[in-house]
Amino acid sequence: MAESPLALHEPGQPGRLPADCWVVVPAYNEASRIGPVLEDLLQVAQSVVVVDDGSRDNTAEVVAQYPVWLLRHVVNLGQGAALQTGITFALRKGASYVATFDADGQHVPRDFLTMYRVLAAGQADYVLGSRFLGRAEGIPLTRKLLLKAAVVFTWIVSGIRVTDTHNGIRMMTRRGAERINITLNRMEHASEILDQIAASGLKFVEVPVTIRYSLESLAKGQRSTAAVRMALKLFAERLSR
Amino acid sequence: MSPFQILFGSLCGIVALFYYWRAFGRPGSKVNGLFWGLLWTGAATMIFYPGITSELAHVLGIGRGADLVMYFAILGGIMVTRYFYNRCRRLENMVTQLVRERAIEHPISANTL
Repeated sequence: MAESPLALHEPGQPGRLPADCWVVVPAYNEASRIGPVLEDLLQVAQSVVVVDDGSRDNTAEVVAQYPVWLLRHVVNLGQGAALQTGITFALRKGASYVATFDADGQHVPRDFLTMYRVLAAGQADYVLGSRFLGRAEGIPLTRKLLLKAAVVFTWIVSGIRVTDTHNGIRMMTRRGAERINITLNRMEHASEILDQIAASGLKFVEVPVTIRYSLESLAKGQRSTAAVRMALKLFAERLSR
Repeated sequence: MSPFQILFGSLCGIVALFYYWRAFGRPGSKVNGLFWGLLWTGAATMIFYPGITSELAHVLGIGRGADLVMYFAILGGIMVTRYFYNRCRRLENMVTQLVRERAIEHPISANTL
């Protein structure tokens, strides 16, 4: 049974997202980390769909041990493609809200409670997590500078002003999710989502979230050179329209 | 006439003839073959009569005929790149759609294991 939004986010009170709030978790070669991530996430979320994006390790076998839905891409397409697969699935399952969550353990599931509260109160159709409004524990200086540069880039290119552009934790209403159609399969999807949010004309807000960097997550995460590749891809996309 | 003109001019002429043969020697639309035939004929003409490009460049207000050719080559390069990029993206989208639908049609849940 869905809990009242008012029951959520009370200081010191436990809370869970309602069953019609689906969390999409794209995963690629995350067998060593996804178990604890799902355990934490399931403390907060009831409806979780993990999209195994063609992993070469036993990510799918690990995920299958948890009470979540598992979708498998037969080949690796990229995080953007996996997110869209999960979003489409959640909408077909009748989701009223759809959230996204990275599989690397950087996010804090309880941040969803604040996000849900904002959406359930009808204050916006999209809630974007911002590490710069919240906390970014252990963030390297180069990563911080790169993310700040991305904020300026997004402002110039997409005309949307946010404080954090490439944060994987976000939540949207069904109406918002229906207007998202990720076509950029790789990491450029974060910019594409912002573009589509801007184009939708629907309201978005940012909420503070916590991101926990670890050596492991940094090792697998995006390299700084990827930013150049992403900028080139976005540029090519704009030229080709 | 220099050896370059003889070699490359003739080559362009042969390619042009090939496209004309394709356009008029087969049933179906002739527009595509005609377009490419004319393009290659133009290239052959410019090789055999390089003065034409200079006159054209002068008419358009560009200093040298070689510059005119270069500008058109750059423009053509961009168009070709754009064409192949879009084609590649369309294929990528089709593959993605196939993989996505397959994944969604065969979901695995803890209850079904």
